[in-house]
Amino acid sequence: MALIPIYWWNKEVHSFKISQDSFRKKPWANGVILLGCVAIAMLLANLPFTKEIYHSFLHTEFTMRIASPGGLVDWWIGYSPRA
Amino acid sequence: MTMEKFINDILMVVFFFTVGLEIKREMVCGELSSFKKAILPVIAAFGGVVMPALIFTVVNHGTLASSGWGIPTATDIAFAVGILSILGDRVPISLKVFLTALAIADDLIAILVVALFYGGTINLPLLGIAIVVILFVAMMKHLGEKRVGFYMVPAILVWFLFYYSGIHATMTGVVMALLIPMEARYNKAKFHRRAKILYDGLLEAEQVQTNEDFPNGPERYHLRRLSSLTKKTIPPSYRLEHKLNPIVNFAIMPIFALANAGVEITDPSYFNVFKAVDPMLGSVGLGVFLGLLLGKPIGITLASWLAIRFKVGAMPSKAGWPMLFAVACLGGIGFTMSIFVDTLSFAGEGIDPAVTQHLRDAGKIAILLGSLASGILGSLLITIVAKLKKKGTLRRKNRPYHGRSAWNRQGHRA
Repeated sequence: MALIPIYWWNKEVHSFKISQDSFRKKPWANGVILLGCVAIAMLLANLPFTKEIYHSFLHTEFTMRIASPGGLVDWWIGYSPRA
Repeated sequence: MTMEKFINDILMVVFFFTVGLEIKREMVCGELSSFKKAILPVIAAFGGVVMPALIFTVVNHGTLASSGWGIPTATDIAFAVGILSILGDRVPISLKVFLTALAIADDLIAILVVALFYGGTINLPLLGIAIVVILFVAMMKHLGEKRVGFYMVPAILVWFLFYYSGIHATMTGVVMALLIPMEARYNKAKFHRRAKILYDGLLEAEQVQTNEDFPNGPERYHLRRLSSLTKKTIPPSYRLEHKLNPIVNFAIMPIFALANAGVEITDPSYFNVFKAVDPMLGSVGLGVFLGLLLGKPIGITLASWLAIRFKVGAMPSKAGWPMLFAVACLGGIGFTMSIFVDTLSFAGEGIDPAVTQHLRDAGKIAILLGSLASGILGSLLITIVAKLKKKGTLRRKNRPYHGRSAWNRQGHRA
């Protein structure tokens, strides 16, 4: 009897995977995701409790490090000419 | 480097690379394969730059805002293509290619506009080195090099050189896509010959007695060789396009949207773009809004009409003027490209930084409204035109036959 919930759970996960795959193959899928992301971004940028985090995340400075004894590669990637 | 720059200057290179591959495929064997069809989006892009700039200048002539004419001239390729994909098969493929090619030409014009009029400095020595590297890659292609790996190293080098020379680094994607070979390493005859040898070898390997099930050791060897053979028979550009498409559609574009679509609304009064034009400050909102919503489609359609009228360009296949105008409306989605120009505008000696900021903020909201209105208008027009077209076809089908043809509609001899 204990196997029945596992069976249903497995079936649900499987059906979700199938529906996800069929969604991905739709020609309009990427456009819908894109518009969803626009809505999320607008909310994140304007809600009082998220806008600080959103903007500070986008302006987070980071450097890609490649092993370079002289530090030349670090400098080239970290250096921003248009900043 | 900030997270925003990483997304816009590195991840978006992959997006532009796949778009470039698509355009190239269409140029070689698709909708842009004739000169007249290939030149039409370029001419249309010029029209789509001139008309919005004119409208903006007419609205803001002689005011502080007049320097912002470049804002409504841009088209955001990612969002325009994204909206087109939602509309599915309502739009003919030829017009999807037309809009994509137009948006790329538009981006190149925007780079020139920024460099020439918005204080963007171009480091000519670095650009010169980049051109030398590009010529080297072109020569490599001409000599018949078809291994993708050999194109990756110069691509990275060109990215660095473009980035530091002041050119939008995403253009590396377009340039490299045009240089990736479209010919496979093995032609049909070579593939068949090698495939036959390998298949014969596979059958022979079946006779080898081992303790393993299928595939046994010698069979695995032949299967590996077969796999490598099929891979090398598919042109590198097709292979890359096929591999990168899901990554671009479901990872890069959503990340790009999340990072760039978050426009902060600092003052809700900016939403009223139709308020009276200030004699000193002008009206950035009205200029940008009208430029995107009206200037873009009118400019694109007018330039296309002139090109076709004077036989310089040719109408995309299976497309008519109403559908071309509807698709041209999507060209008004300036969004991130327009915001990029907006952030460079209205600065200068003698202009109060607070005024500059005010004009830029008003411009951002107008871009948001103009892009949204263009997207909605374009989508509505495309849906209506597609429906009318479908109805027109159905009506023609149901119409009683009065033609002179010797064959009636049922295919029977009259």
